[in-house]
Amino acid sequence: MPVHHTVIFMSPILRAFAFLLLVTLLTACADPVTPVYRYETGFLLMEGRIADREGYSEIRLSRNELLFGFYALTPVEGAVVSSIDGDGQEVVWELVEDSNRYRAPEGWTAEAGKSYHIRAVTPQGEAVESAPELMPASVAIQEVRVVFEQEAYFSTGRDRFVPAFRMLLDLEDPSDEENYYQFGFTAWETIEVCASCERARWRNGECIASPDTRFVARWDYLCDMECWVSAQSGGRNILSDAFINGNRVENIEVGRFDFARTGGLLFVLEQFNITQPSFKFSEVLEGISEGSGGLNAPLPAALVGNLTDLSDNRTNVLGYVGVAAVNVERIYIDRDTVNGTPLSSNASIILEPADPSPPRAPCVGGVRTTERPAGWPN
Amino acid sequence: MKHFLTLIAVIFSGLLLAQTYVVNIVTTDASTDTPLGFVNVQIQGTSLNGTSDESGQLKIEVPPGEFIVLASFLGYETTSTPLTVSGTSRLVITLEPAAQQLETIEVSSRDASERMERPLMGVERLTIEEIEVLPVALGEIDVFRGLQLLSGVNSAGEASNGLSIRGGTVDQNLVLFDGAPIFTPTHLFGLFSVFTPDAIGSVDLYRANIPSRYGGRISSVLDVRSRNPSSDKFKMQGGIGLVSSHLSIETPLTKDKKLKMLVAGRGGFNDFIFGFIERLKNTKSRFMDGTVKLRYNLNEQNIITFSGFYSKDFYQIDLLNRFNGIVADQNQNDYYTLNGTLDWLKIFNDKTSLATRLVSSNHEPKVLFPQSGTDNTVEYKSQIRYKSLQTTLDHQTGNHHLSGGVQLVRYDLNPGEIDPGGVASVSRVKLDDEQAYEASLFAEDEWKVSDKFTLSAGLRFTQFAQLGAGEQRNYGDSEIISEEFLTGTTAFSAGETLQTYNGFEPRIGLNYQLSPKVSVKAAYAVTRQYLQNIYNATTPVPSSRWKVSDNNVAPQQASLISGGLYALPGKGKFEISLEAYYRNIDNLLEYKPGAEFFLNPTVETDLIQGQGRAYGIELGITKKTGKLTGQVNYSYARSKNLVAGPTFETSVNRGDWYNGYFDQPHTLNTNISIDDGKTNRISLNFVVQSNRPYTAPNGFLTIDNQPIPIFLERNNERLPTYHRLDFSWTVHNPKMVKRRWIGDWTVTIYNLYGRKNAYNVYYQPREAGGPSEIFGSSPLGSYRLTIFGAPIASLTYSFKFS
Repeated sequence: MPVHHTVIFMSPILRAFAFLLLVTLLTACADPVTPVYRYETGFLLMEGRIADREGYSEIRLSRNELLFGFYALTPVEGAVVSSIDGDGQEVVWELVEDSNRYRAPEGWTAEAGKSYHIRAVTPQGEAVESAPELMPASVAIQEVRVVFEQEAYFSTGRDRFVPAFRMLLDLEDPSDEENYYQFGFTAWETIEVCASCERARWRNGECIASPDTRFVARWDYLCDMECWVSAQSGGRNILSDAFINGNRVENIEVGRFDFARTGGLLFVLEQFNITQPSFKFSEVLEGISEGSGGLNAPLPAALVGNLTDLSDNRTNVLGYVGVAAVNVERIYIDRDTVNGTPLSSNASIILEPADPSPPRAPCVGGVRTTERPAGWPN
Repeated sequence: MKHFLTLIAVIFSGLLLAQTYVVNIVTTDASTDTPLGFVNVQIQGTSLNGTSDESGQLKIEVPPGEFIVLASFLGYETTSTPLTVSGTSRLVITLEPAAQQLETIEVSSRDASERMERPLMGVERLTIEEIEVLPVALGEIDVFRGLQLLSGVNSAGEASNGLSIRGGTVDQNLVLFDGAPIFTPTHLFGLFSVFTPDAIGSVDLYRANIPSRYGGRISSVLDVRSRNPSSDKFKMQGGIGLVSSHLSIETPLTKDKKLKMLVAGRGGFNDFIFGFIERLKNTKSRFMDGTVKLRYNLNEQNIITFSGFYSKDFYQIDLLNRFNGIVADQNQNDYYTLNGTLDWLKIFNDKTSLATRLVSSNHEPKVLFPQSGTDNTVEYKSQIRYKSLQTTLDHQTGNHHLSGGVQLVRYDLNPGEIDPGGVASVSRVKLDDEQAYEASLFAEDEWKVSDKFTLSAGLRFTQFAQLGAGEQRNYGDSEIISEEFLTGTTAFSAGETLQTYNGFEPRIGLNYQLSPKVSVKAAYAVTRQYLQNIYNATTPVPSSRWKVSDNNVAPQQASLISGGLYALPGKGKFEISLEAYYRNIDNLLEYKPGAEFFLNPTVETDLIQGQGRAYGIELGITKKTGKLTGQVNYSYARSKNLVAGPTFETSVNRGDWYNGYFDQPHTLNTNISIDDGKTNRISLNFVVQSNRPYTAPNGFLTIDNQPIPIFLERNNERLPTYHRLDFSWTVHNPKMVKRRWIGDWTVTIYNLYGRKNAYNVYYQPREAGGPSEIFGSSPLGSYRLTIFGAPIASLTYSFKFS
């Protein structure tokens, strides 16, 4: 069995080590099996952050339910969500349409040194509040870089080594305070095709099948404007200064992005300074998700966060809402200049042979935007 | 019903009398060639026994047949002599003076009738001969695998650092080697135990009536003893195998043969094989263990023994890992155990003796992160040091065998530290050392009340104290121990007492013989544990943290009641045993959700204490004589925990009873050995058992775009049934020529039909390209981890030279 190069955290290292040793020595293996659940519903799920930078203050509110026997997280719309600071000043946040996201109003950011908490009143009468947190000081990012590796990691799902870009960051930890960090990134790239239809043609916003399209494998339709899509980092990437206090730390891996296509790529590296309870909560998340494999997996933990329903409903609320001081750095790279082979060659674009030219599809939906992201060269 | 009655009839038909002959036995002293009086003589497989008179004479009436006669006497080696009875006969038994430890003075409990009479229920003894015939993974002789044949003893998972005894956890067993505790008793993260195979003399497992001279753990005591060097000539034995090789030498060191030595070692350095595979070329896996035993017969009244043990493991793997900001691309595990025991046995006369023992035990695990491109290595290490002085007085008077004594134990713990090793971005961090002592007084009386009734009453009293230097943290009256409730800290200097605990631990057993072939036993024992192993997983790794009890962590306490029925139906070829037990645990140690102990200075904020209970019934049938030997064991056993604190965070499974981590209701264990007495020995081992519980999530949610499982319960599902068949075949001395050099070849196949037994089931976010037909619409993927998923064959060559 191949050796896995896995990026993980400290105490799970002690666990993953033993597992990997046995994997290489013996016949150990991990087989995928159908996941078994014992569904329980009726919980409110709230997560997100109150940030000191625009665009980063957002909370997501859902409820878990069984719909027709299927477990689902349904968005809670119509809630009144607001952030309240230590002086009692309340700012109402706005719902992003057709989603479970509530964002702080444009122009508003939290301030360092002040304490904040969230209050959410749902249409069902629950009043959820988070424990107040003091906005920590923001620690400056010293330097960032992007490094490309043709064999960056081994993917069991794809059963091969994957070429990827690694985003690295240097920082200097202040010695006079306890600092807790969380890292993430957003990656922006452009797309050319905004709609595709199989055995159909695209008209008026939908794929319409007709007798003469029965044998069409696929037709692609170009975007009507420059269109960007964003991808967010997943997973916990956290760091405490317990062992690095006061030192300069280099080459902290903020994230990893597969080399799958050519074209421009904009990385927005994000560093969040969070509180200690928020850090501990993230440690729990890491332990029960990415860290759950191996010989000595941590015991399963309930997600005891900092949220309570103060109404008479006393609904159980899972998740965490904390403050974060945000620092970002942007790096733009042109993948056409990278010396390496992407994952799979770009599938060729097949245009409908319409006269004079096939219609174009709009850049809408999900993670698409026609707004040029900050940091993208003109 | 009819079959049941027939079975009862068969068992009791052994009471019928048969014709007997007189056997005249004479017992003599080999060194002086004179008669030796008051020797205990027993006919193996029967309840016939006696004691020779002052002139060494004894007459016993024996039915016709072939038997083995066992003879023992304080200060002499126990002998076994074959005897064929077809008429009146005479047998001379010669005994060699070489005193044994007082505890093994009775005839080995290989003898079933001895098990009939001693009240020690729940003690299992394995000799090295019995362990050697078992098939094992990777061809290694293994004490732990041998014990797993017994009812109520389970592996804690195929690659786990110990055993689960009657549903208990791994750290609830006191594992001793010549009286010195072993804190990490396995190599290769749990594949096999550390005891040097050539040096093992006997293995005693106490789990019901634990004698009062033992204390400190709540499930069991595993007392492994090295064998005594007794040979007058130079002897060597060893073996070469795929995973490891071993060698031992036994020889007298002085001309008068009063000082004898045994040196045994085992090492596994075959990791050069990895060098041939490109991806594994930096993987290293090396281990070794060694035992030295010196025995000095100063004179007939004084015997001094020294036993030393060293075990070392080193593993290295290419593992790109990030440790709080430092990137290392290799990871190393390095741990050792260094123990020493000094014994002085003073024999006053044949009724009284005094045994004094001094023990030192040292265990230091390290995890290393070498920095590529430099000579720097970041090192994490911890250490546990144990010292003990124990004196036991044994005295036989009338029908009472009295023993008593005192034990003083000192613990010095380094709970963990980081050494930056020259890496500028890492700071040095060290947790405060912990110190404690346990002072115990114990006394026991084994009273033969009548021919049929034996009672053993013991009492142990332990005074525990946590000592400074150290810091004591107080959390007020709050039931919740967490940082927001910290009311104050007090600093103590070296030698001052921070916290004390004490208590009596009664150990009572009784044995009543209903008939020469049937006896019933009962036992009651209270035990306490002052040293805990802390790990937020099902089993600990070698570098898991140890902690002494303090003002926030109370000692765990267990009380166990057990009862049993033993029968030797017919001619005594079969032994039948039926045992039932119930154990209650107070202050059971559990962990708060997301508990993290790594270099945590306030570890008590992540611990919660609750309750546990375990109960079960064990049924076993054993055949120990003849060409075909073996045993079948079935047990039904449950283990449950309860942690119900005032908040959600201080409860587990919402405050309801939940299945313990080693709750395995049904176990069926079969072992058969066929020995033609000359060259070939074939052994088969088959296990079917309910597997351990695991936790299935109650749903999932997404946080920062990532799906996370929701775990509200604990141990609510069970892994698929475990079953496995092992096979081994030993060819002994193939050339069948009697020479000084005798060699054996052994082929072992572990997991013969390649069953993929589940070790764990876990949930992780799905990877791109994963199997969607298996995961369906679940955002989490689920994986079943198997340790030994295929048959593992191994070939070993072992030799003996004298």
